[in-house]
Amino acid sequence: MKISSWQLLILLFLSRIFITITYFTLEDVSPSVMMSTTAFSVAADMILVIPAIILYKKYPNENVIRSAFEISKSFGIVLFVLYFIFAIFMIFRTVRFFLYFFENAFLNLLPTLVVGAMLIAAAAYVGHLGIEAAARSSSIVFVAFLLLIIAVIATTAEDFDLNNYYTEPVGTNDILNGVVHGISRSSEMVVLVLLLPYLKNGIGKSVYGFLILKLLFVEMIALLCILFLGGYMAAVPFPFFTVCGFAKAPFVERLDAAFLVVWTLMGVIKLSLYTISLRPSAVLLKPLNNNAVTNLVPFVLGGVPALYFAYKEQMIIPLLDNEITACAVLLLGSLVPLAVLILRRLKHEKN
Amino acid sequence: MNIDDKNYAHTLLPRTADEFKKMLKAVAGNTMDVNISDIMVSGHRCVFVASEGMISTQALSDLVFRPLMEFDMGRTASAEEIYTFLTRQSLMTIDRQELTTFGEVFMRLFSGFAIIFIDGLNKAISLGIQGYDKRSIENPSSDTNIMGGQDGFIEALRTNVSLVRRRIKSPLLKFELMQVGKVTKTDIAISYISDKVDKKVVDEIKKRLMDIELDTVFSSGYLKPFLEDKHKSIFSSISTTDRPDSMCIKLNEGKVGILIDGTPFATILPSEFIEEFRTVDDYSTRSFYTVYIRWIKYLSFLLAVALPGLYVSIASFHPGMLSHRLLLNLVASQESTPYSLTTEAVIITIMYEIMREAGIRLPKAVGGAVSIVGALIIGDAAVTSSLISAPLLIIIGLTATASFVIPGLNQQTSVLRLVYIAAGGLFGLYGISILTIIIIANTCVLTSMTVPYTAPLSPLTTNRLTNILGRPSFLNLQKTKRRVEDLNGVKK
Amino acid sequence: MKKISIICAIIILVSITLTGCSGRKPDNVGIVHAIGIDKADDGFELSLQVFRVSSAGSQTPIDSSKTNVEIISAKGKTIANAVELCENQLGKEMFFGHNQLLVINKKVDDIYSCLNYFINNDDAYIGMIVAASEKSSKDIISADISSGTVAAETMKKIFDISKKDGYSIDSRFFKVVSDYIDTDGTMVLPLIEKRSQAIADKSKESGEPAQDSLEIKKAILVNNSKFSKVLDIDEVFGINYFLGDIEDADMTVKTSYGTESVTLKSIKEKAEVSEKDDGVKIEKNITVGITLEKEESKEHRDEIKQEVEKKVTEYINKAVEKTLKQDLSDVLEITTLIRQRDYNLYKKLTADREEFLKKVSVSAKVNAVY
Repeated sequence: MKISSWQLLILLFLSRIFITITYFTLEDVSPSVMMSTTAFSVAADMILVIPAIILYKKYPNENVIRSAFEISKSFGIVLFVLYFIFAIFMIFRTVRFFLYFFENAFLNLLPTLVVGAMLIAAAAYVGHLGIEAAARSSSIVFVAFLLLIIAVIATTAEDFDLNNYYTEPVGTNDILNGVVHGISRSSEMVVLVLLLPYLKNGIGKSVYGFLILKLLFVEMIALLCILFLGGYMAAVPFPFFTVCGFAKAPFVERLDAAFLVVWTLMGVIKLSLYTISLRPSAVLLKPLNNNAVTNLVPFVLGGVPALYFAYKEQMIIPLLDNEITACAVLLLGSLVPLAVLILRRLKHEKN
Repeated sequence: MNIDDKNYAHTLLPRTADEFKKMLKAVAGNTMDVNISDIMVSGHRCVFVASEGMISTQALSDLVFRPLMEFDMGRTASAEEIYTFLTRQSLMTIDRQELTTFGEVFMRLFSGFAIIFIDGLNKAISLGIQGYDKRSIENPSSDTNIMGGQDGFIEALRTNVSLVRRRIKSPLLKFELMQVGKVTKTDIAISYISDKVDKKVVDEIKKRLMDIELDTVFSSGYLKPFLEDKHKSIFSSISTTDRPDSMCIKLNEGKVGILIDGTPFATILPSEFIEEFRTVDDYSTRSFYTVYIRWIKYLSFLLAVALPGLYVSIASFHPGMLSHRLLLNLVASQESTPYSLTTEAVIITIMYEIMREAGIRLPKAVGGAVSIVGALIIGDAAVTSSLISAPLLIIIGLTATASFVIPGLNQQTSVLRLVYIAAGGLFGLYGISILTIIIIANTCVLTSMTVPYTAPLSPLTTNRLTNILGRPSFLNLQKTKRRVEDLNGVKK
Repeated sequence: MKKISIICAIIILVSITLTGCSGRKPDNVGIVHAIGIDKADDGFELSLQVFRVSSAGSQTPIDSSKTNVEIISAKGKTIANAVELCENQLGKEMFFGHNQLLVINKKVDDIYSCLNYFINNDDAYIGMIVAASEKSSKDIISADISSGTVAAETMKKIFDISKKDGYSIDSRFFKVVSDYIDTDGTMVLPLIEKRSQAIADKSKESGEPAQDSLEIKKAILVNNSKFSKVLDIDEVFGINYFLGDIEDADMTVKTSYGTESVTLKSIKEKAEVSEKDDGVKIEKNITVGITLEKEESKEHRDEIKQEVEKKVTEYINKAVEKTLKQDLSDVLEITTLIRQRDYNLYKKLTADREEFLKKVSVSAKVNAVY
């Protein structure tokens, strides 16, 4: 089953924007610095995806692990294990993050364990259905997301205060920090190198389209929050969610619960991508070539421990923005594909 | 020759009339609806077999016996001569067929054919002089339209075939007859337009039908599970219609229709989700109105499925979303009711389903009584006695009305409505969003003969988006050939 | 496999339904429309205007001619504590999602801690009006305003109209908190007063309760989370004109031909920021639009224009004097203006905010257009 470049673009975009709309705070960073560093981070991403693009163009039906198998079986197995562990970690992080938001924004609504269990079950089911389900569903979720954004902007635009936005000189440290944070949140780079066999055509269009769309929306959401909330941003953990609490639609007084619906849809798709992306490679490994195993094991090993950490707030911030995750993304999303390309070329020349 | 009810299908016909009659009675027994008569034609013994009530006595007299008597003008003829007369020289009936096995004999006999066996030949002739009683053509019962044709399919297969053929006079429209059901041997006709359909699809459908091992097939519901692809979904990628014009539109798009003898509903595949919102009236009205009505239908579907669940979830878990006045009215109406909104919604939904089912099943004479009882019990007494709140009653009423806008999805909306109420009532909008993504994902994977159920929305086929927005213009229709396999996302 | 799935589904469904999760009813929640915070001996006295339906029967659940609220009061060390006590009294969980108004008594010491509870409460509506009261806040929210389904709806409308006319400041919760954070602890809140007007003959004879009304003609400054100086109506107008928040204000001007009534609206503002010796000079060009009430007044357009410009300038100068000079409150958003124009200058000047505010000079040039 192949997906179009547009479907891949939307999958990656929804996966990324899931983090943005619930987590970015100004901390000690001014709005302008935050927006500038986002642009630098996306510029860095544009360079880091080049190995993935070349990999696809040279070997369109292979992802990085299958290519590694062509070099040697043990190398392929090692890489598979690394990506498998990464998937488990990302599922853990995403579920934990989802629950963190839920505990804060919808306290007393539902027991956290029930929320987490439902999320994991739904994501496991979508993962089980495969890339087709995720890709086609993502188109519908994307439309819902756009409608939400339009409704929020339309109803809050009249209260935008341009005085809330100010420019500040951006230092090298700020840029580096921004780039590191940006990379650590961009697990899609790793998912991309694994999803390559599913793509019909148009790798450049998907990847660069995704990055441009990501930049556009991240900046737009940041600007929206800044212009509307101003200093209030510093007092709330989820600025966009707070803006939705004020925005209204014709029959709906507040859009924060609508935000929850859209965000949940995005979260399920994001989680399912981690197991779907392993499938093209899992068929090469005997005990794991059962779809149920490839799909369920990461959710059990990653999702269930995340439920254990419910209500433990100190887990969340280090999980999200840290250098180790950034290094992992850089390694698995860019350096490993580059290494695989080089090794394959060397092997080809040797032969 | 030994014959019994296990081997009769392939047992060849004997040469003698006595043997023929004996073997016939050995299988059919003394069943009262099989009439076996000995007749002499030109000094030669023949056996005439017919099923009571299945043949037309007028046609029998005019088309069979009179020509036979005229043939028999005092001369003797051999078996071969009589056979040649019956098959080639007379104009008794157009539908004549040579039969060589008892399987074929019984097949034809119980399809309303008359059978003539000639002593000395090990073959028989069937003559199509059906005259069984059948319903006259009436308005379609389930898919009503204002400006489309007012004739609908009936139970007789051949009549239905003629209704389709009248509308598509192209020789490329084909009907392939086959039988399904080991016991019932129900006639089905696979119809398609040969230059529009993918031959592989037709072959696949035939293969799946031939693999059916059921004893009985009485309606399209018996065939659907065998025709659908393996993925289990709440929606069906096979649609049904009782309108010949609707079927013709779909045949023209390269789809395959299956007419089943004994049921007035034709089965069409492959089908897309968007098909359920399309009616023949779309092509009879101006395009602006079609667009308007189409979006009303989409809204109706969403209301029918999700409105009670959304209402229950928002009112119970997210009251901030409701407008201030609405919330206050809702709270006020809930003050005196004993149950939670979820319980009320479930109660009233089940009551509605009971009323609806009763309305379908009960005799027409007492139909009015059901309406009165329903209105009194649900409408007035329940609210006055504060068993349920008035806003919820309005919601369910609106939902029920909305569900009648798309009759083809009635099964799905009924069940999903309850599921949404449960999800919304137990888990709020979170439950609704989880349920929604599961349903969307489940539906998106559904395909029928390689055509995705969610096409043309996903995978996106831009030149077919007019199908979703409204209908394509007639100018556009005359320029482009629309085939269903264009929707499977494969670029040609 | 199918049998097992169906059995599992039934078990799960029955288990979930038996947990009672579906037992939530909208009337189990106390819908708060208005909140009043007064100072208590050891903390706060919290008063809540909560919806209580006065039913006329199941066919007409809400009777608008009756009072559909009740006032719940409790004293607690913190706002959260007081809310809990109110919930205990009412037997319902309080829901602040439709709260329209938050009134804080000017005797309360720490305003930000009052606001902080609602910042952290995700249900709380961030568009609620925040106001101050001269006397008891409980009195304000108990005002017997009988039009509308609930009194708080009418109270909000009063604020909206006052703001539109320039009598009140935009004191929606998120704006107030945003200003507070941006200016390191200053804000301005409308000051609300209750007036009871006895319906003369009737109330004496029939014993009917007096009709209450609310008035907003002043504002109060908040500096370092404490209430400070009271602003009179001219100063409030001055702030609104300076910030460009006038939508539809009436003004009476005296001309040589008599008294003229005009309607004014803010059109645009443009500020110039320049560094001077040891401070900053801000010159703001403010354009207001004039609509004449009477056709005949067109003959005196020039004179009216001059009077309007003079009067608006007067308002602004009063506001600058009271807020900036006397109270060192940056309600005129000077620091955000400088921050936007020149971040480095802003950083330099706001190292010592008080010193900076002492040295800033603000002037306005008003241009009235028809």
